[in-house]
Amino acid sequence: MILDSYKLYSVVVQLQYAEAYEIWDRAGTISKKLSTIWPDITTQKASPDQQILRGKGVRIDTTIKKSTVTLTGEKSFDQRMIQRLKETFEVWREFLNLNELERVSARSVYVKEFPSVKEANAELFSLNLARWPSSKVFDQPMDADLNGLEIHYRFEDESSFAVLTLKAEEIVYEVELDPYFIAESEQKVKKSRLIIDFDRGLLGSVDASKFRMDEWIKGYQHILRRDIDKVITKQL
Amino acid sequence: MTADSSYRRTNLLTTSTEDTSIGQRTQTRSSATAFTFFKSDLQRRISKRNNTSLSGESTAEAEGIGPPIDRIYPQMFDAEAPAGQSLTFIHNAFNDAQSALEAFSSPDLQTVASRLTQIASTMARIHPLTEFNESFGAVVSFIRRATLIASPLEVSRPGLNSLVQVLRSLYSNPMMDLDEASDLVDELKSSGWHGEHGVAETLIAELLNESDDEPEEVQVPLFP
Repeated sequence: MILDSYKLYSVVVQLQYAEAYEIWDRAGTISKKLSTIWPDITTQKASPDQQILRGKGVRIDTTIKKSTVTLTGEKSFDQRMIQRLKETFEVWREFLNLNELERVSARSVYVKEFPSVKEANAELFSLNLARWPSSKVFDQPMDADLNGLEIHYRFEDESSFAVLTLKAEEIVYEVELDPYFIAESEQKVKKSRLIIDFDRGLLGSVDASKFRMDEWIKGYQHILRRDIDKVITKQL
Repeated sequence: MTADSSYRRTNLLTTSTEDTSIGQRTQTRSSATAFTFFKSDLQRRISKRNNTSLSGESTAEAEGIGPPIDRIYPQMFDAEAPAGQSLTFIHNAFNDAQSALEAFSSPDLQTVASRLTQIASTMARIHPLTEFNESFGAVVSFIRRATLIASPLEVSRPGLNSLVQVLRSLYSNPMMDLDEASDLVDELKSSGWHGEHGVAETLIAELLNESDDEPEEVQVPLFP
C-alpha cells in the first residue's frame, strides 16, 4: 500500500451545524470539559463566538457555526486519539445542544520527505497520474526544479464527498526570536515532501444524537486504506 | 524556546487555522493554485427517498435526508468484516421472512415453518458476529429465540410483517443504540413473537451445551 511509505502528518476533524447560540452561555463549561479530555491544553483565545484551546499536537476550535480538532503527528489516528475525538464530539453535542450536523468531515495529510522538491516532483511524475508535455510550453523551462503537478481527485454527490490530493512542495519555515535571549535568533528550515491529502465528509443532515464519531473515523480510515491503491498505483 | 512551532499552512488544510505566534512565517513553494474545497458550504437539498426495499432502506436514514448509513460507517458493510457478514446474513433472513409471508398467504404453513427455522438458524450464525454492537446482537438473539419456538399455527400475518420490518431495520441501522433495539423487540412482542420464553431459553442452552440440567429435566415443562 502506498501509504505505508508515508507518515501521517496531520488530521483535521470538523463539524458544521446551525448557529449554536449556546456557546455564549456555556463557553466556560465546554472549555473545562475539553481540558479534562485533552491533557495540558490551554486557552489561546476566548471570545464570545470562538474559543481556541491548544496543547502539544492539538488545537481545538469551538465556534458558533463549526468546531474543529486539529491534530499533528504520526499518532493522530491512534486509538487514544479516536477516543478523545469521540469524547470531544460528545461535549460539543451536549453543551452546544447539537441536534443536526450539516457537515462532518475529516482530512488527513500523509507526507514523504525528499532531499529536494525536484525529487519529490519526480516521484509524483513516476506515478503517471497525468500527461506531462514533451516539449517546452508557456515559455517555461522544462527542467526547472519547481515544475510539478498538483493532482486533485474529487468524488462527490449530495450525500458525501472524497477529495484526494497529491502534490510536491517545499516548505520554508522561518522563526525570528528575540536576539536578547537567543543568539541564533533567525532560524530557517527547509523541507521538501510529497503529500497525500485525503479529505472526506458527509453532507446533508446527520442526526447528532445517533452519530458515532469513533465509528465514523474508523470508517474514514477503512475506506482510505481500502481504496487508495485503486487510485494511485506506483509504476514499477 | 517558547515560540510555538506549529506551521501556518493555510493553503493545505480545509480548516486552516490562524497562527498568531509572533515572528513566524512559512512559505510553501509549490503550485500556487488555490485549493478550492467543497461546494458543501452551500445549503443542500436532498430529496426524500422511498424505503420500499431492503436495499432502498439501506441507502437512506429514517428521515430520508441524511447520508446513507453505508457512507457514514462503510466498515460495517465490508463483506469481509464481521459486521458486513452479519448484514449479509440479515439480508438472507429478510428474504426468508418475505418468503414466509408470501407462503402464509397461500396458505402454505409448511413453507412458513421451514422459513422460520431457516431464520432461526441464520440468527444463530449471526450472533457470534455481533460483538461490534451489543444492541444489534440483542435483537438478533430475540429473533433467534422467537423463530425457534414459533408454531406456524400461531404465526400471524402482522407477526410476519413485523419480522420483515425488524429485519429491514437491522440491515439499515447496524449501529442502533439500546433504545432503538428495545423498540424493535417491543414491536416483535406486540405482534405476537415470544423471544424470551424461559423453556426455550433452557432448551437453547441445552442445545448449545450451555446447560447443567439433564435433557429430560429440560423437557418436563413442555410435557405437563
